Amino acid sequence: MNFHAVKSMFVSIIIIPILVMFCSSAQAHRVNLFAWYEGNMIMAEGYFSSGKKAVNSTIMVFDSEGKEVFHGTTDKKGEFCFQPPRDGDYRLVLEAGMGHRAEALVSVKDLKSHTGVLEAGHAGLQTTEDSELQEEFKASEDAGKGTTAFNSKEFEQILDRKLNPIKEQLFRLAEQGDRVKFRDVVAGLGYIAGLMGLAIYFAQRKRKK
Amino acid sequence: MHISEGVLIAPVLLAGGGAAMLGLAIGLRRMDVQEIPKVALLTAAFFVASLVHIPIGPSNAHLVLNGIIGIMLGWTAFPAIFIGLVLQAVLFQFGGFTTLGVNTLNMAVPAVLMGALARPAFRSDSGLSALVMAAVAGAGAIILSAAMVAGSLSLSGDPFIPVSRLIFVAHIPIAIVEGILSVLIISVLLKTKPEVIRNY
Repeated sequence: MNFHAVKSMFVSIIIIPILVMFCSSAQAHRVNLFAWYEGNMIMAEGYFSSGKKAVNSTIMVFDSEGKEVFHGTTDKKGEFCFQPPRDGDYRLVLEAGMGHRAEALVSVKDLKSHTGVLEAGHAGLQTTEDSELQEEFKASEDAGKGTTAFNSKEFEQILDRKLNPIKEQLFRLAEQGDRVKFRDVVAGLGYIAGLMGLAIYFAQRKRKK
Repeated sequence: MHISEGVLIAPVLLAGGGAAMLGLAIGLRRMDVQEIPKVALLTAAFFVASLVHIPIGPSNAHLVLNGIIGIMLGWTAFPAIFIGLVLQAVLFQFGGFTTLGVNTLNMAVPAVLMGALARPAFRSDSGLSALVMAAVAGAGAIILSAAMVAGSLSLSGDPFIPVSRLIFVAHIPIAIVEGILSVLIISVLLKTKPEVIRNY
């Protein structure tokens, strides 16, 4: 029986991962939280590793001192947004029920200058303190020989459009990193086989004594 | 079934850890050299089962197989499930290290109980009662685990009734699937290798 068990163990070590590979729904059940800072809002999206969005889940935002500054739920797309009161690091905690929980850190910088841009509105970027942006705008105005009169809202829209694909890609990358990898499955089975060997070794030695 | 880090309060974690250690000690004491490959095989099955999702019902949960593990291993289900959970935590970031004790307890206690409940039926010659008890153990272990998860969450402050309703609804499809699975596995084993189940 012992020999057969060992044989079937090795057979299953080969067969089980292959079965898992072909099983399309082979993902660990874990909730993940992807959060970023955009505009003057903290945005977040909660999703399970199976691809399902974490809908109607509790979300809490803590500031750097550990004080809860927001308590709410994700929407139908598993998304959430929150306007941070000031600069600093924020810790987001998502509770998706049944003991599933995820955390994410977002640091907020230059909140003031950003709201400054928004408030500046039609007056253009001349009023903002962001010299880099100003220079960029001057350059683009020069290039267009003054015919392109941008205001900050249009600029925001253009930036959004340009950055969306990158954001999307980052999100996919994060999602991919959260997937269970085939090599991890194999590694786990290898550890179990190794532990079995160790256990047999020690048990045999004890028996001889 | 896997409770994440930071959900439970410290007393629940400590009590769970202590009780799991006790179960582990009993399990290791009862593990014979002859049994080690079987324990390893079922550990591997448990480790991989969590990757197989059953996409039925509102929240798709995954297989646990603790009923079958309980039938085949008895008390040694404790070390098998513990090792499986450690590897899932390390490699899949599934559950967590502080919750290892509670998670072991939530899945291994139903395994041991259901195994003890079902095993006498396999010694009898009645094939039907063996299959019925296999189904009961397979499905019952999931239901009992769901109740224990709900219990550990409610001890940490979640209201029991809504939480447990959510967990039960999510795990009914799994309980049915595991009931059927355990009947299939046990019936095959009783025909081909009855000593695997009977020699307790």
